[in-house]
Amino acid sequence: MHWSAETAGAALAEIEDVYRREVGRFVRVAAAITGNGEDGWEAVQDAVARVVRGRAGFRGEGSLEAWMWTAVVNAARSKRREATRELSSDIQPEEKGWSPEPEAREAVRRAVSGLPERQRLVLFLRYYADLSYEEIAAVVGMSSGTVGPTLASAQTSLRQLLGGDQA
Amino acid sequence: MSKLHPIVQDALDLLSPPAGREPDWADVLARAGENGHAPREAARVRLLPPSRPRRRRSRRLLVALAALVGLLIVFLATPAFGLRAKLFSLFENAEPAPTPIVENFDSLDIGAPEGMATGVIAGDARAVIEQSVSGGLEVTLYVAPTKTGGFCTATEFRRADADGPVRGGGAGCRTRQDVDARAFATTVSIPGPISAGGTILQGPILVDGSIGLGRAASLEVEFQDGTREEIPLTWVSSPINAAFFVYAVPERHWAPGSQPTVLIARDAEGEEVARDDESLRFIFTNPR
Repeated sequence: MHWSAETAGAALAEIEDVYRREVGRFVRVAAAITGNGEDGWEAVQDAVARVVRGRAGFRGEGSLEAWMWTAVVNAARSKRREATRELSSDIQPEEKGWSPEPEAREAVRRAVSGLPERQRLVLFLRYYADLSYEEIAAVVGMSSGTVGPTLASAQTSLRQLLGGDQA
Repeated sequence: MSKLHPIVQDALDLLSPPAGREPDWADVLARAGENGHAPREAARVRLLPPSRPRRRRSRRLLVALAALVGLLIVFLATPAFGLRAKLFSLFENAEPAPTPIVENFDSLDIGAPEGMATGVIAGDARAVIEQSVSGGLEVTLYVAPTKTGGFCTATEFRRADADGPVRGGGAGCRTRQDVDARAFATTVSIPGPISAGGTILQGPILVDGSIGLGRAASLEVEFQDGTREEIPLTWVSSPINAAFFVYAVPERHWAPGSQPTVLIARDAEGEEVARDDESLRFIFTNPR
Protein backbone atom coordinates (compact mmCIF):
# COMPACT_ATOMS: atom_id res chain seq x y z
CA MET A 1 0.00 0.00 0.00
CA HIS A 2 2.68 2.47 0.91
CA TRP A 3 4.96 2.74 -2.03
CA SER A 4 7.33 5.23 -3.47
CA ALA A 5 7.90 5.65 -7.16
CA GLU A 6 11.45 5.43 -8.34
CA THR A 7 11.10 7.10 -11.71
CA ALA A 8 8.88 9.68 -13.32
CA GLY A 9 5.55 8.81 -14.92
CA ALA A 10 2.93 6.39 -13.73
CA ALA A 11 2.07 3.24 -15.63
CA LEU A 12 -1.53 2.59 -16.53
CA ALA A 13 -1.20 -0.89 -15.11
CA GLU A 14 -0.15 0.44 -11.74
CA ILE A 15 -2.99 2.93 -11.67
CA GLU A 16 -5.39 0.14 -12.47
CA ASP A 17 -3.92 -2.01 -9.71
CA VAL A 18 -4.31 0.72 -7.10
CA TYR A 19 -7.80 1.51 -8.35
CA ARG A 20 -8.98 -2.11 -8.20
CA ARG A 21 -7.48 -2.62 -4.78
CA GLU A 22 -8.63 0.63 -3.23
CA VAL A 23 -11.92 1.38 -4.95
CA GLY A 24 -13.96 0.40 -1.90
CA ARG A 25 -12.08 2.79 0.34
CA PHE A 26 -12.00 5.48 -2.34
CA VAL A 27 -15.78 5.36 -2.64
CA ARG A 28 -16.31 5.25 1.08
CA VAL A 29 -14.25 8.37 1.68
CA ALA A 30 -15.73 10.15 -1.33
CA ALA A 31 -19.25 9.27 -0.23
CA ALA A 32 -18.56 10.67 3.22
CA ILE A 33 -17.34 13.90 1.65
CA THR A 34 -20.09 14.30 -0.92
CA GLY A 35 -22.89 13.16 1.33
CA ASN A 36 -24.13 10.24 -0.72
CA GLY A 37 -22.87 7.06 -2.27
CA GLU A 38 -23.73 7.83 -5.87
CA ASP A 39 -21.90 11.15 -5.92
CA GLY A 40 -19.02 9.44 -4.16
CA TRP A 41 -18.83 6.84 -6.90
CA GLU A 42 -18.95 9.50 -9.61
CA ALA A 43 -16.20 11.45 -7.90
CA VAL A 44 -13.97 8.39 -7.72
CA GLN A 45 -14.47 7.45 -11.36
CA ASP A 46 -13.79 11.03 -12.47
CA ALA A 47 -10.75 11.31 -10.23
CA VAL A 48 -9.15 8.11 -11.44
CA ALA A 49 -9.90 9.10 -15.03
CA ARG A 50 -8.04 12.35 -14.37
CA VAL A 51 -5.12 10.40 -12.96
CA VAL A 52 -5.10 8.22 -16.08
CA ARG A 53 -5.07 11.28 -18.31
CA GLY A 54 -2.33 12.94 -16.31
CA ARG A 55 -0.19 9.91 -15.58
CA ALA A 56 2.73 11.14 -17.66
CA GLY A 57 3.03 14.08 -15.31
CA PHE A 58 3.43 11.97 -12.22
CA ARG A 59 6.81 13.02 -10.86
CA GLY A 60 7.26 10.23 -8.38
CA GLU A 61 7.94 12.57 -5.48
CA GLY A 62 5.33 10.82 -3.40
CA SER A 63 3.49 7.55 -3.71
CA LEU A 64 1.14 6.87 -6.60
CA GLU A 65 -1.47 5.95 -4.07
CA ALA A 66 -1.20 9.28 -2.27
CA TRP A 67 -1.52 11.01 -5.63
CA MET A 68 -4.69 9.09 -6.36
CA TRP A 69 -6.07 9.79 -2.92
CA THR A 70 -5.48 13.49 -3.49
CA ALA A 71 -7.35 13.28 -6.78
CA VAL A 72 -10.25 11.44 -5.16
CA VAL A 73 -10.54 13.88 -2.27
CA ASN A 74 -10.38 16.89 -4.59
CA ALA A 75 -12.98 15.42 -6.94
CA ALA A 76 -15.29 14.65 -4.02
CA ARG A 77 -14.90 18.15 -2.63
CA SER A 78 -15.77 19.58 -6.04
CA LYS A 79 -18.75 17.29 -6.30
CA ARG A 80 -19.95 18.41 -2.88
CA ARG A 81 -19.62 22.06 -3.86
CA GLU A 82 -21.58 21.41 -7.06
CA ALA A 83 -24.31 19.65 -5.11
CA THR A 84 -24.49 22.48 -2.60
CA ARG A 85 -24.95 24.99 -5.40
CA GLU A 86 -27.63 22.89 -7.04
CA LEU A 87 -29.68 22.25 -3.93
CA SER A 88 -31.66 24.84 -2.11
CA SER A 89 -30.98 24.98 1.58
CA ASP A 90 -34.08 23.06 2.57
CA ILE A 91 -33.53 20.12 0.24
CA GLN A 92 -31.37 17.26 1.39
CA PRO A 93 -29.07 15.37 -0.95
CA GLU A 94 -30.50 12.22 -2.45
CA GLU A 95 -30.27 9.10 -0.38
CA LYS A 96 -28.81 6.45 -2.59
CA GLY A 97 -27.15 3.26 -1.57
CA TRP A 98 -27.47 3.65 2.17
CA SER A 99 -28.71 1.32 4.82
CA PRO A 100 -32.10 2.25 6.28
CA GLU A 101 -31.23 4.28 9.36
CA PRO A 102 -32.14 7.72 8.08
CA GLU A 103 -32.77 9.53 11.37
CA ALA A 104 -29.63 8.38 13.11
CA ARG A 105 -27.54 8.96 10.00
CA GLU A 106 -28.99 12.40 9.52
CA ALA A 107 -28.00 13.26 13.09
CA VAL A 108 -24.49 12.00 12.42
CA ARG A 109 -24.31 13.90 9.15
CA ARG A 110 -25.33 17.12 10.89
CA ALA A 111 -22.70 16.54 13.55
CA VAL A 112 -19.97 15.76 11.03
CA SER A 113 -20.99 18.79 8.97
CA GLY A 114 -20.37 20.87 12.06
CA LEU A 115 -16.67 20.05 11.94
CA PRO A 116 -14.21 22.23 10.02
CA GLU A 117 -13.52 20.70 6.62
CA ARG A 118 -9.91 19.90 7.42
CA GLN A 119 -10.97 17.96 10.52
CA ARG A 120 -13.54 16.08 8.48
CA LEU A 121 -11.02 15.10 5.84
CA VAL A 122 -8.45 13.97 8.39
CA LEU A 123 -11.09 11.91 10.17
CA PHE A 124 -12.29 10.26 6.95
CA LEU A 125 -8.81 9.53 5.65
CA ARG A 126 -7.67 8.10 8.94
CA TYR A 127 -10.70 5.94 9.64
CA TYR A 128 -12.03 4.87 6.26
CA ALA A 129 -8.75 4.87 4.35
CA ASP A 130 -6.37 3.97 7.20
CA LEU A 131 -3.76 6.34 5.81
CA SER A 132 -0.70 7.23 7.87
CA TYR A 133 -0.28 10.72 9.25
CA GLU A 134 2.31 11.44 6.56
CA GLU A 135 -0.04 10.31 3.81
CA ILE A 136 -2.92 12.29 5.23
CA ALA A 137 -0.68 15.34 5.42
CA ALA A 138 0.25 14.92 1.77
CA VAL A 139 -3.34 14.47 0.63
CA VAL A 140 -4.89 17.27 2.66
CA GLY A 141 -1.96 19.64 2.30
CA MET A 142 -0.85 20.14 5.88
CA SER A 143 2.21 19.32 7.94
CA SER A 144 2.32 15.81 9.30
CA GLY A 145 2.86 17.19 12.79
CA THR A 146 -0.58 18.76 12.81
CA VAL A 147 -2.46 15.65 11.69
CA GLY A 148 -2.54 14.07 15.14
CA PRO A 149 -3.84 17.17 16.95
CA THR A 150 -6.37 17.76 14.17
CA LEU A 151 -7.60 14.19 14.47
CA ALA A 152 -7.88 14.49 18.24
CA SER A 153 -9.80 17.75 17.93
CA ALA A 154 -12.13 16.20 15.38
CA GLN A 155 -12.89 13.27 17.65
CA THR A 156 -13.47 15.46 20.68
CA SER A 157 -15.74 17.81 18.76
CA LEU A 158 -17.68 14.99 17.16
CA ARG A 159 -18.23 13.25 20.46
CA GLN A 160 -19.53 16.46 21.93
CA LEU A 161 -21.73 17.14 18.93
CA LEU A 162 -23.15 13.65 19.19
CA GLY A 163 -23.81 14.09 22.88
CA GLY A 164 -21.54 11.23 23.83
CA ASP A 165 -19.12 13.38 25.80
CA GLN A 166 -20.21 16.18 28.02
CA ALA A 167 -16.66 17.18 28.87
CA MET B 1 -9.61 1.28 9.54
CA SER B 2 -7.73 2.95 12.29
CA LYS B 3 -9.08 2.73 15.76
CA LEU B 4 -10.84 5.84 16.97
CA HIS B 5 -13.14 6.49 19.89
CA PRO B 6 -16.02 3.98 19.71
CA ILE B 7 -18.64 6.73 19.48
CA VAL B 8 -16.77 8.30 16.57
CA GLN B 9 -16.30 4.95 14.87
CA ASP B 10 -19.99 4.16 15.14
CA ALA B 11 -20.87 7.57 13.75
CA LEU B 12 -18.52 7.17 10.81
CA ASP B 13 -19.79 3.67 10.12
CA LEU B 14 -23.29 5.05 10.03
CA LEU B 15 -22.32 8.05 7.93
CA SER B 16 -20.63 6.09 5.18
CA PRO B 17 -21.18 2.35 5.20
CA PRO B 18 -18.83 0.14 3.23
CA ALA B 19 -19.14 0.70 -0.49
CA GLY B 20 -20.52 -2.34 -2.23
CA ARG B 21 -19.35 -1.20 -5.66
CA GLU B 22 -17.24 -3.34 -7.89
CA PRO B 23 -14.44 -1.59 -9.75
CA ASP B 24 -15.35 -0.47 -13.27
CA TRP B 25 -12.05 0.10 -15.01
CA ALA B 26 -13.65 0.30 -18.44
CA ASP B 27 -15.72 3.24 -17.21
CA VAL B 28 -12.57 4.94 -15.91
CA LEU B 29 -10.85 4.52 -19.26
CA ALA B 30 -13.90 5.83 -21.09
CA ARG B 31 -13.99 8.92 -18.87
CA ALA B 32 -10.27 9.38 -19.47
CA GLY B 33 -10.79 9.30 -23.20
CA GLU B 34 -8.84 6.12 -23.64
CA ASN B 35 -10.04 3.75 -26.31
CA GLY B 36 -11.87 1.08 -24.43
CA HIS B 37 -9.65 -1.35 -22.61
CA ALA B 38 -6.21 -0.04 -23.42
CA PRO B 39 -3.49 -2.66 -23.29
CA ARG B 40 -1.67 -2.77 -20.02
CA GLU B 41 1.64 -1.02 -20.45
CA ALA B 42 4.92 -2.33 -19.21
CA ALA B 43 5.45 -0.87 -15.79
CA ARG B 44 7.68 2.17 -15.77
CA VAL B 45 7.31 2.65 -12.08
CA ARG B 46 9.00 0.23 -9.82
CA LEU B 47 7.16 -0.11 -6.58
CA LEU B 48 9.38 -0.17 -3.57
CA PRO B 49 8.58 -1.68 -0.22
CA PRO B 50 7.33 0.78 2.34
CA SER B 51 9.61 2.39 4.82
CA ARG B 52 6.88 2.45 7.45
CA PRO B 53 7.35 -0.81 9.35
CA ARG B 54 10.08 0.72 11.48
CA ARG B 55 7.74 3.48 12.53
CA ARG B 56 4.97 0.99 13.15
CA ARG B 57 7.29 -1.04 15.35
CA SER B 58 8.08 2.08 17.33
CA ARG B 59 4.40 2.76 17.76
CA ARG B 60 3.79 -0.83 18.80
CA LEU B 61 6.62 -0.55 21.29
CA LEU B 62 5.06 2.57 22.76
CA VAL B 63 1.68 0.85 22.97
CA ALA B 64 3.27 -2.15 24.63
CA LEU B 65 5.06 0.08 27.12
CA ALA B 66 1.86 1.98 27.84
CA ALA B 67 0.00 -1.29 28.36
CA LEU B 68 2.75 -2.48 30.67
CA VAL B 69 2.52 0.69 32.73
CA GLY B 70 -1.25 0.27 32.90
CA LEU B 71 -0.91 -3.30 34.03
CA LEU B 72 1.60 -2.33 36.68
CA ILE B 73 -0.82 0.25 38.04
CA VAL B 74 -3.54 -2.38 38.27
CA PHE B 75 -1.10 -4.78 39.87
CA LEU B 76 -0.08 -2.29 42.52
CA ALA B 77 -3.67 -1.41 43.19
CA THR B 78 -4.77 -5.02 43.57
CA PRO B 79 -1.90 -6.98 45.04
CA ALA B 80 -4.13 -9.73 46.35
CA PHE B 81 -5.49 -10.53 42.96
CA GLY B 82 -2.33 -10.39 40.88
CA LEU B 83 -1.55 -8.70 37.61
CA ARG B 84 -4.71 -8.31 35.55
CA ALA B 85 -5.85 -6.00 32.83
CA LYS B 86 -8.99 -5.05 34.67
CA LEU B 87 -10.45 -6.28 37.90
CA PHE B 88 -14.17 -6.54 38.37
CA SER B 89 -15.58 -7.39 41.74
CA LEU B 90 -18.83 -9.08 40.85
CA PHE B 91 -20.95 -7.95 43.76
CA GLU B 92 -19.38 -4.57 44.38
CA ASN B 93 -19.02 -3.03 40.95
CA ALA B 94 -22.41 -3.49 39.40
CA GLU B 95 -26.13 -3.49 39.90
CA PRO B 96 -28.03 -6.74 39.49
CA ALA B 97 -28.85 -7.58 35.90
CA PRO B 98 -32.25 -6.48 34.57
CA THR B 99 -35.19 -8.82 35.00
CA PRO B 100 -35.26 -10.18 31.42
CA ILE B 101 -31.63 -11.23 31.75
CA VAL B 102 -32.27 -12.88 35.10
CA GLU B 103 -35.24 -14.70 33.58
CA ASN B 104 -33.06 -15.72 30.66
CA PHE B 105 -30.54 -17.28 33.00
CA ASP B 106 -33.31 -18.84 35.06
CA SER B 107 -34.75 -20.48 31.97
CA LEU B 108 -31.55 -22.45 31.47
CA ASP B 109 -32.56 -24.91 34.15
CA ILE B 110 -36.27 -25.10 33.44
CA GLY B 111 -37.09 -28.68 32.60
CA ALA B 112 -33.46 -29.75 32.80
CA PRO B 113 -33.18 -33.48 33.51
CA GLU B 114 -31.63 -34.74 36.71
CA GLY B 115 -27.93 -33.97 36.78
CA MET B 116 -28.08 -31.73 33.73
CA ALA B 117 -29.10 -28.47 35.38
CA THR B 118 -26.48 -25.74 35.27
CA GLY B 119 -27.18 -24.61 38.80
CA VAL B 120 -27.03 -21.01 37.68
CA ILE B 121 -27.75 -18.44 40.36
CA ALA B 122 -29.65 -16.12 38.09
CA GLY B 123 -30.29 -13.49 40.72
CA ASP B 124 -26.54 -12.89 41.03
CA ALA B 125 -26.11 -12.04 37.35
CA ARG B 126 -24.19 -8.86 36.64
CA ALA B 127 -23.15 -6.93 33.57
CA VAL B 128 -19.38 -7.14 33.37
CA ILE B 129 -18.64 -5.72 29.91
CA GLU B 130 -20.53 -3.06 28.03
CA GLN B 131 -19.15 -2.08 24.67
CA SER B 132 -20.15 -0.15 21.57
CA VAL B 133 -20.04 -2.07 18.33
CA SER B 134 -20.78 -1.09 14.75
CA GLY B 135 -24.16 0.08 13.53
CA GLY B 136 -24.98 2.11 16.63
CA LEU B 137 -25.30 -1.00 18.74
CA GLU B 138 -24.06 -1.72 22.22
CA VAL B 139 -23.40 -5.19 23.50
CA THR B 140 -23.47 -6.23 27.12
CA LEU B 141 -21.98 -9.40 28.50
CA TYR B 142 -23.70 -10.70 31.62
CA VAL B 143 -22.19 -13.26 33.94
CA ALA B 144 -23.90 -15.31 36.64
CA PRO B 145 -22.26 -17.80 38.99
CA THR B 146 -23.40 -21.38 39.36
CA LYS B 147 -23.87 -23.31 42.59
CA THR B 148 -20.96 -25.58 41.74
CA GLY B 149 -18.27 -22.98 41.10
CA GLY B 150 -18.80 -22.42 37.42
CA PHE B 151 -20.55 -19.61 35.64
CA CYS B 152 -22.96 -18.81 32.85
CA THR B 153 -22.76 -15.93 30.38
CA ALA B 154 -25.26 -14.19 28.14
CA THR B 155 -24.90 -11.34 25.66
CA GLU B 156 -27.47 -8.75 24.71
CA PHE B 157 -27.43 -6.24 21.87
CA ARG B 158 -29.08 -2.90 22.44
CA ARG B 159 -29.43 0.09 20.17
CA ALA B 160 -27.72 3.05 21.79
CA ASP B 161 -30.58 5.40 21.01
CA ALA B 162 -33.45 3.08 22.00
CA ASP B 163 -34.79 1.50 25.15
CA GLY B 164 -35.30 -2.16 24.46
CA PRO B 165 -32.83 -4.82 23.42
CA VAL B 166 -32.72 -5.53 19.70
CA ARG B 167 -31.26 -8.97 19.94
CA GLY B 168 -30.41 -11.40 22.67
CA GLY B 169 -27.20 -13.28 22.22
CA GLY B 170 -26.77 -16.83 23.24
CA ALA B 171 -26.26 -17.99 26.79
CA GLY B 172 -23.80 -20.65 27.81
CA CYS B 173 -22.26 -22.12 30.92
CA ARG B 174 -18.92 -23.50 32.01
CA THR B 175 -18.38 -25.82 34.93
CA ARG B 176 -15.43 -25.18 37.18
CA GLN B 177 -13.87 -28.37 35.87
CA ASP B 178 -14.14 -27.04 32.34
CA VAL B 179 -12.68 -23.68 33.32
CA ASP B 180 -9.76 -25.40 35.01
CA ALA B 181 -9.15 -27.83 32.19
CA ARG B 182 -9.59 -25.59 29.16
CA ALA B 183 -8.09 -22.13 29.02
CA PHE B 184 -10.40 -20.68 26.40
CA ALA B 185 -14.11 -20.82 25.73
CA THR B 186 -14.78 -18.69 22.67
CA THR B 187 -17.96 -17.85 20.80
CA VAL B 188 -18.11 -16.20 17.39
CA SER B 189 -21.34 -14.51 16.25
CA ILE B 190 -21.88 -13.59 12.62
CA PRO B 191 -25.41 -12.22 12.16
CA GLY B 192 -25.38 -11.51 8.45
CA PRO B 193 -24.63 -13.18 5.15
CA ILE B 194 -21.21 -14.23 3.92
CA SER B 195 -20.28 -13.96 0.26
CA ALA B 196 -19.30 -16.97 -1.77
CA GLY B 197 -15.74 -15.75 -1.49
CA GLY B 198 -15.90 -15.76 2.28
CA THR B 199 -16.29 -12.03 2.91
CA ILE B 200 -18.61 -11.18 5.77
CA LEU B 201 -21.19 -8.75 4.51
CA GLN B 202 -22.88 -7.59 7.69
CA GLY B 203 -21.86 -6.96 11.27
CA PRO B 204 -21.45 -6.76 14.08
CA ILE B 205 -19.10 -9.72 14.15
CA LEU B 206 -18.60 -10.57 17.76
CA VAL B 207 -15.92 -12.70 19.37
CA ASP B 208 -16.56 -13.20 23.04
CA GLY B 209 -15.59 -15.67 25.67
CA SER B 210 -13.80 -16.44 28.87
CA ILE B 211 -10.37 -17.47 30.05
CA GLY B 212 -9.89 -19.38 33.24
CA LEU B 213 -6.13 -19.24 33.30
CA GLY B 214 -5.04 -17.17 36.29
CA ARG B 215 -1.78 -16.13 34.64
CA ALA B 216 -3.50 -14.54 31.66
CA ALA B 217 -2.90 -10.82 31.91
CA SER B 218 -3.61 -9.75 28.36
CA LEU B 219 -5.21 -11.04 25.22
CA GLU B 220 -4.55 -10.37 21.59
CA VAL B 221 -6.08 -11.46 18.35
CA GLU B 222 -3.96 -12.27 15.35
CA PHE B 223 -5.31 -11.85 11.84
CA GLN B 224 -4.60 -13.80 8.70
CA ASP B 225 -2.46 -10.95 7.40
CA GLY B 226 -0.18 -11.25 10.42
CA THR B 227 -1.33 -8.09 12.18
CA ARG B 228 -2.46 -8.20 15.79
CA GLU B 229 -4.70 -6.22 18.09
CA GLU B 230 -5.07 -6.28 21.83
CA ILE B 231 -8.44 -7.24 23.28
CA PRO B 232 -9.20 -5.86 26.73
CA LEU B 233 -9.65 -8.50 29.39
CA THR B 234 -11.98 -8.08 32.33
CA TRP B 235 -11.22 -10.31 35.28
CA VAL B 236 -14.18 -11.08 37.51
CA SER B 237 -13.56 -11.84 41.13
CA SER B 238 -14.72 -14.76 43.24
CA PRO B 239 -16.86 -16.78 42.88
CA ILE B 240 -16.29 -16.46 39.12
CA ASN B 241 -12.49 -16.23 38.99
CA ALA B 242 -12.20 -15.92 35.24
CA ALA B 243 -11.47 -13.28 32.64
CA PHE B 244 -13.96 -12.22 29.99
CA PHE B 245 -13.64 -10.52 26.65
CA VAL B 246 -15.89 -9.08 23.99
CA TYR B 247 -14.38 -8.07 20.67
CA ALA B 248 -16.24 -6.62 17.72
CA VAL B 249 -14.23 -7.53 14.61
CA PRO B 250 -13.52 -4.30 12.67
CA GLU B 251 -14.83 -4.17 9.16
CA ARG B 252 -11.34 -4.10 7.72
CA HIS B 253 -10.99 -7.66 8.96
CA TRP B 254 -14.14 -9.10 7.41
CA ALA B 255 -12.59 -10.29 4.15
CA PRO B 256 -10.55 -13.47 3.66
CA GLY B 257 -6.87 -12.77 4.02
CA SER B 258 -7.30 -10.45 6.96
CA GLN B 259 -9.84 -12.24 9.14
CA PRO B 260 -9.15 -13.20 12.76
CA THR B 261 -7.32 -16.48 13.04
CA VAL B 262 -6.05 -17.00 16.60
CA LEU B 263 -6.47 -15.66 20.12
CA ILE B 264 -3.35 -15.50 22.26
CA ALA B 265 -3.33 -15.04 26.02
CA ARG B 266 -0.15 -13.69 27.56
CA ASP B 267 1.14 -13.40 31.09
CA ALA B 268 2.36 -10.22 32.73
CA GLU B 269 5.76 -10.59 31.06
CA GLY B 270 4.18 -10.93 27.66
CA GLU B 271 4.88 -14.63 27.37
CA GLU B 272 2.23 -16.69 25.67
CA VAL B 273 0.33 -18.85 28.14
CA ALA B 274 -2.51 -20.15 25.98
CA ARG B 275 -3.92 -19.86 22.52
CA ASP B 276 -7.20 -20.63 20.83
CA ASP B 277 -6.47 -21.42 17.21
CA GLU B 278 -9.58 -23.47 16.61
CA SER B 279 -12.62 -21.29 17.33
CA LEU B 280 -11.72 -18.53 14.91
CA ARG B 281 -10.02 -20.56 12.23
CA PHE B 282 -12.97 -22.83 11.84
CA ILE B 283 -15.41 -19.97 11.43
CA PHE B 284 -13.40 -17.66 9.24
CA THR B 285 -11.69 -20.06 6.87
CA ASN B 286 -14.78 -22.07 6.03
CA PRO B 287 -17.11 -19.74 4.11
CA ARG B 288 -20.70 -20.82 4.35
